[in-house]
Amino acid sequence: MKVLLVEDYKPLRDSVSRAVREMGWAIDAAEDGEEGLWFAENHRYDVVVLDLMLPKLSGLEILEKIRAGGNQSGVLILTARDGVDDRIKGLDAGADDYLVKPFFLGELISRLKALVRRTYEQQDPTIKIGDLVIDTSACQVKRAGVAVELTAREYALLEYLARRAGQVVSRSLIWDHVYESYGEANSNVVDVYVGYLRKKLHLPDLPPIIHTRRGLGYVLKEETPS
Amino acid sequence: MNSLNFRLLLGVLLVVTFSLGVGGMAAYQRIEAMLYEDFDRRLVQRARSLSSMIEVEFERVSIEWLESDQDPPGHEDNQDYYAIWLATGGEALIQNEGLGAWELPRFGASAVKPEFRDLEMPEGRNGRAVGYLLEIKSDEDDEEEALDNDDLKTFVGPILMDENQTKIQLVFGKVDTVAQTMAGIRSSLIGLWIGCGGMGSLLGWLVVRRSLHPIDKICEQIGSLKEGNTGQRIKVDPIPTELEPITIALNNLLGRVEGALVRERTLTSNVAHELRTPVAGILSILEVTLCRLRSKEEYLESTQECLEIAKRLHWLVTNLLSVTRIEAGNVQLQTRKVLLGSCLREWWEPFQSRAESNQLEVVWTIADGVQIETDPEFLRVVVSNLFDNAVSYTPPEKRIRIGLDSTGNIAVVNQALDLDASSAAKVFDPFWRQSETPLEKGVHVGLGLNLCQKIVTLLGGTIQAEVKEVDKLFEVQLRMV
Repeated sequence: MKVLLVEDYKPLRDSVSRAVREMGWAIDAAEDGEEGLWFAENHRYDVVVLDLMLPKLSGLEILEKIRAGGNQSGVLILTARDGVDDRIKGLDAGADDYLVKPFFLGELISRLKALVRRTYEQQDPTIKIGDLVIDTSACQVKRAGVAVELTAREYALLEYLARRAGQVVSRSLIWDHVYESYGEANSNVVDVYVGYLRKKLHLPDLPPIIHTRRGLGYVLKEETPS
Repeated sequence: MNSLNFRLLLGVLLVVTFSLGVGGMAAYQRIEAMLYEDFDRRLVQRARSLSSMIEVEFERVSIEWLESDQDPPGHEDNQDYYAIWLATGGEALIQNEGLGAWELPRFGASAVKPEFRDLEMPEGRNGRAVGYLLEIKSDEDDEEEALDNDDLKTFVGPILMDENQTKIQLVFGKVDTVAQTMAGIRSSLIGLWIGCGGMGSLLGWLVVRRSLHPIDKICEQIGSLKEGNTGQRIKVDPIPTELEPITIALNNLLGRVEGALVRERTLTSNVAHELRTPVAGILSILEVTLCRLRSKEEYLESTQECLEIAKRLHWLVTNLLSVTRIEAGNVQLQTRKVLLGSCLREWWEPFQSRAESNQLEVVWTIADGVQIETDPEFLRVVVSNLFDNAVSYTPPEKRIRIGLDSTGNIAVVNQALDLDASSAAKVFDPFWRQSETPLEKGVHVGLGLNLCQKIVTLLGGTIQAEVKEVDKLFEVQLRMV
């Protein structure tokens, strides 16, 4: 999963970015409205976290512009403004959620996860694909009842594939949703991490669950015996 | 009694009744005068008619009239009374029978101008009489004719007259019918006055009520003003000219209230932002740090970061409280004589290391021995804010000039690339910032210069800011004397 955070207060931007990264998700952080809009218009995000009082371009302006451009990412407004009018304005402008500062990080993370579930139309925080069970609230994975230890990046990759289970997901799409936007897109990196993931999810006597579609990408699905 | 409605109605009522009363009385008096004029004219006519019948026959005064008349002319319904006296001597000659024992007063000694009087007639009736002097003629030549004419009736007086007594005094009275007519007119006028007064009051009440209706509408609109919706204005259409200034003044007041509320909301919003955001920062840093075991360096870094934020919060809260105290007038000055030059150098010391680390050149232009009487603690807060801004915003390796002239004017000049000339007027506004990203620079949230302005005003001085476009120099002038 990938998050765009637009927040001008550096200590908060840094700590939220760190928490999201440690959860295994990718995050791009912008320090002003113009930069935030540029990220939102040029990259794909599962969730956008917007402060309202931003330099150069306000959070509401960014929200209106990205919604006008057809961006359907979940948007959470993170602001010090706690008035009912402010909430109404934000939600009317197209925000999906509203969190007032100061907040507890755990609450922010839970809301981000809820927004991702809403984006992918999944109500249950536990994703089950055959014998693979992913508890997205605890970031834990089990296959056939056996816990699988994954790195943050491996978990992010698996969660993204699981959110789109049954669909072929291209390498570029994986890159866009799992890796931060600062580096050059590299499909080899995706392949390497998919390889790591396959190894960790492979258990004796169990069929593979991640499948390669040559020239197209990868698909996560339970292979039924033909 | 305080009701405008009541006062206007009372006014209308008084005007209507007074006008009707005065008008009615004038009309009444005019009618009365006209009627009495007519009455007197007819009285004189009757008296003249009677006097034409008076003659002297056989040395006696007589009144001669036709048989067909039951009474002498003008006496048909017992309304007229007359009496005749000798002008000289005053003996009564003739008076009509209806007078009985009652006597007409004797008056009117002029032959030229008849005299009129109001009288009380027999049976208590009011009357009016005319009296005048009259020369009678001798009619002995007509004796034959008089005796031959059976139709003639003569009323002959009892007193003989000699040749020298040819003047008589006649008083002719008549029952006053005008008084009765006037009584009727008076009743009608009073009835009309009461009726018109009542009708006028009703109409006045309706007119006043309708005229005051816009006030009710204004009250209704004022009553419907919502606290939250400050953009509402009073609008009554059509508005009476007298109420227009009131609604304009009221709408101007609403505009000022709206402006004040907007400023208060903006201030509250800014304060909330500046307080909540650092608290959110501390919380999130601590949560992230404590969610798993970290290295010693990571704990140190997080603690340091939280300390910096806490310092910023402390500074912000202190400044906010100072501004609030000054605005509330809850400040006591402790003034004493201060040597400004040495104070400025002492107050600069805390900023020395930051200036050196930014490789800033500090140029001092201090006049010696300048002494002013002020509260040094408050002045220190002002000067420290100016120094802090200068050190924070001056680009590395640039110059800060600190000046004090002999009149006690303090100037702090530094290069500020972000500011333009139009910014100078805004720098004293609370939470105004040229750049909206001050948080990363330290403690600057746009409150320092606002606090400086309030303190300087409290100390009785002035503070001005200027931005020179050419070399981007930001200069703050502080005049304490």
